[in-house]
Amino acid sequence: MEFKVEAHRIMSISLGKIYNSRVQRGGIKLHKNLLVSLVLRSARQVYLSDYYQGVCLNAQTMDTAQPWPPGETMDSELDENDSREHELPHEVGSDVRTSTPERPGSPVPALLNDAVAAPQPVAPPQLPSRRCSNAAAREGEANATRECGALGGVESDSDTPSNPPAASFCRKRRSCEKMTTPPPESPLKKIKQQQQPTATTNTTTTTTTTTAAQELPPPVGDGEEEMDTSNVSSLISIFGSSFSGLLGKESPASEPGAEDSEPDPPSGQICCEQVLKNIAPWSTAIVAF
Amino acid sequence: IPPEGIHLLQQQHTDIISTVEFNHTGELLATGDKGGRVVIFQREQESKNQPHRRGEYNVYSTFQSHEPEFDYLKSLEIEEKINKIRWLPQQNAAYFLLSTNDKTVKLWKVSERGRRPEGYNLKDDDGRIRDPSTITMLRVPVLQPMDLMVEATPRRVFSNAHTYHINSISVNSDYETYMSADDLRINLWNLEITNRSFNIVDIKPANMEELTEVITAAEFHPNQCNTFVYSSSKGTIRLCDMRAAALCDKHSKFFEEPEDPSNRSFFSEIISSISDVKFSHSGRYMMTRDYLTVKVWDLNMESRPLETYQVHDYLRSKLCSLYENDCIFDKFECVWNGSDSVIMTGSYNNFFRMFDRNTKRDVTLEASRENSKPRAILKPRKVCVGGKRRKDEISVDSLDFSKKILHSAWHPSENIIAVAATNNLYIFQDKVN
Repeated sequence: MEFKVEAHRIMSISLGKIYNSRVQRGGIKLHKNLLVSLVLRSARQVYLSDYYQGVCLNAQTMDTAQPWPPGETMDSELDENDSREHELPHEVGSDVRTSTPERPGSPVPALLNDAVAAPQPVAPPQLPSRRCSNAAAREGEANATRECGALGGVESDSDTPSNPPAASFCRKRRSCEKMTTPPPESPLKKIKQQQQPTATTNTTTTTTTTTAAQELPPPVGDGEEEMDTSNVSSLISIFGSSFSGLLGKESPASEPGAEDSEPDPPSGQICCEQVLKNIAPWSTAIVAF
Repeated sequence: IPPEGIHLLQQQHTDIISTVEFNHTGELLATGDKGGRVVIFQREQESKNQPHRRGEYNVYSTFQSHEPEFDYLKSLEIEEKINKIRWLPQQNAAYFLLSTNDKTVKLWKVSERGRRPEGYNLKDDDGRIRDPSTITMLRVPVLQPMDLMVEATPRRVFSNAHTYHINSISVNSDYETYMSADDLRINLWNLEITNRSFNIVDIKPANMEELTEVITAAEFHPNQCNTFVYSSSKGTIRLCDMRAAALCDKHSKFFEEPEDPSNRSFFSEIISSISDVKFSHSGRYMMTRDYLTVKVWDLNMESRPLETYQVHDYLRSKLCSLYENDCIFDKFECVWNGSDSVIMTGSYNNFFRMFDRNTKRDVTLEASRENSKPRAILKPRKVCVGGKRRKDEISVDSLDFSKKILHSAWHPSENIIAVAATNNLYIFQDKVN
């Protein structure tokens, strides 16, 4: 159980970092965000493996119909973390907790392997989320989450055994993975492929110094060669809009900045369960990033 | 023996120092900072009158290398922070260096003007045009000494070749070409040609969602102009031979140490990411720095490093906190001494560590104003890990993680080191007898 809590905490910290990266000077740093996404995946695997051990696998078919926004717990976690950011000495207490997953021979590696060994439950819900993430990149609208919910309902019937997100998600655990089915053609992939031609020219060698002839003709958010962080933007848009939907249905928060909204401890527990159910649809957005 | 020597110089930048580099003779020391400025220090000539001032470094030239830019097409600000400076070997009276920010590499010429021509016929020494009627005779202008002026001029600007952030530049031993590396690509340039570069490594996947690793550092071999290495965020190093193919996506050698499964954690991937790679001067070895260790590799052995040194292993249990406060993403550099017998790297609390490869001794030193007066001998420091803390020791929880030494440099032949602590530059050298 404490692994799950710790994993959850690390996930929320990671999401906060990804979100904050978009306002950093100098643009989104690919290296740092890649590392953060790897931590996010690891934490998520631990979290899910804990979850799936106790839950019927049928639950995931219900996930796709669920509305998107993660529970309030994420919000409150971020607040706690902000206040704790630079107080390293205070971390001794939490380090006792955190050190547990890192000790040699701890159950965490076993859990990770378990999570990897059962990729199937993860696969189906990811397709609707992929479409969602790209849609969000396009429009960056707050109602992207509602869009996802609707799409999720539509797609729940799809029976694809595997798709690009699952394949790439599991790519990290190469030794454990046996997924060989090729990714099916999806509308999303077609959209992506339309954007590809602009990128292929860049594998050749020429550059020019003339200001007009930038090597990167596509407009912002569309082309691959735009220091391709469009997935990051989409992920951030999703979480941005998710955060705004956090504080319950009656009062949407004004600002996606999670630091501003207040923690809500009593509902934290309830929202934790909510988060659990919603986590599977996220996976693609995370992987997409 | 690692120099525990004398604190000679302490200079303060207005901005955080982001790179430090000696030139090939050690006469000059260049620093770049977050504000896009480059400051070059020059070593004083040793004089018999003041033998104890054995070659101090003084400011030689300061110039603004890069300015903040805004990419309107992508709505992105481009930081002016100098990521790396690399010197070219000296071929005439002027000095040349390459400096780079995230997107653009510039070749700077630093030259002295100590004389100026005087005695023109058509104009005054002030530059005013002389009245022709006052000119009665011809004279030949002569060069007269003037106050020394050091000027820096940008000779080449290499731009528009990197979609991602440049992390490394490296001058080839042929002195004609150099390479620049960003997160996903490495480009080869000719120093004379700015409008063309050749892509020699491209690890960008066709589908960015399949991205699993990025390039973190790259360097040319010191002697073999066809060989270079690049490190990755996955803790691997690839050695490539440019003779094999135009595109060096296929490595010639692949260096990776198998992961210790007992050390597995959420943060294993982050701490295995290599932040710096440096060839030894001899070219036989290379050194890599990841978050907790420095490793020396034999180029002939790909399966595991020759030597592994623990820089600050006491941080292993603190990784979660270091992840929260972003310290785990700090990119420490590492340096060899001139004879490749000692290696040095930085840590937190303004500590830096030296490891003697032969005696296996190591020392922790601190670069701070409070603890070092000019010509004082640096006292070794110790971090206390266990319960009982001795008098001079500092406990892990008292370490100041905002004071980090990421960048340092070692003189090519002497025991002089330059250590950058935030916006202070410290220069230490061996004790003189």
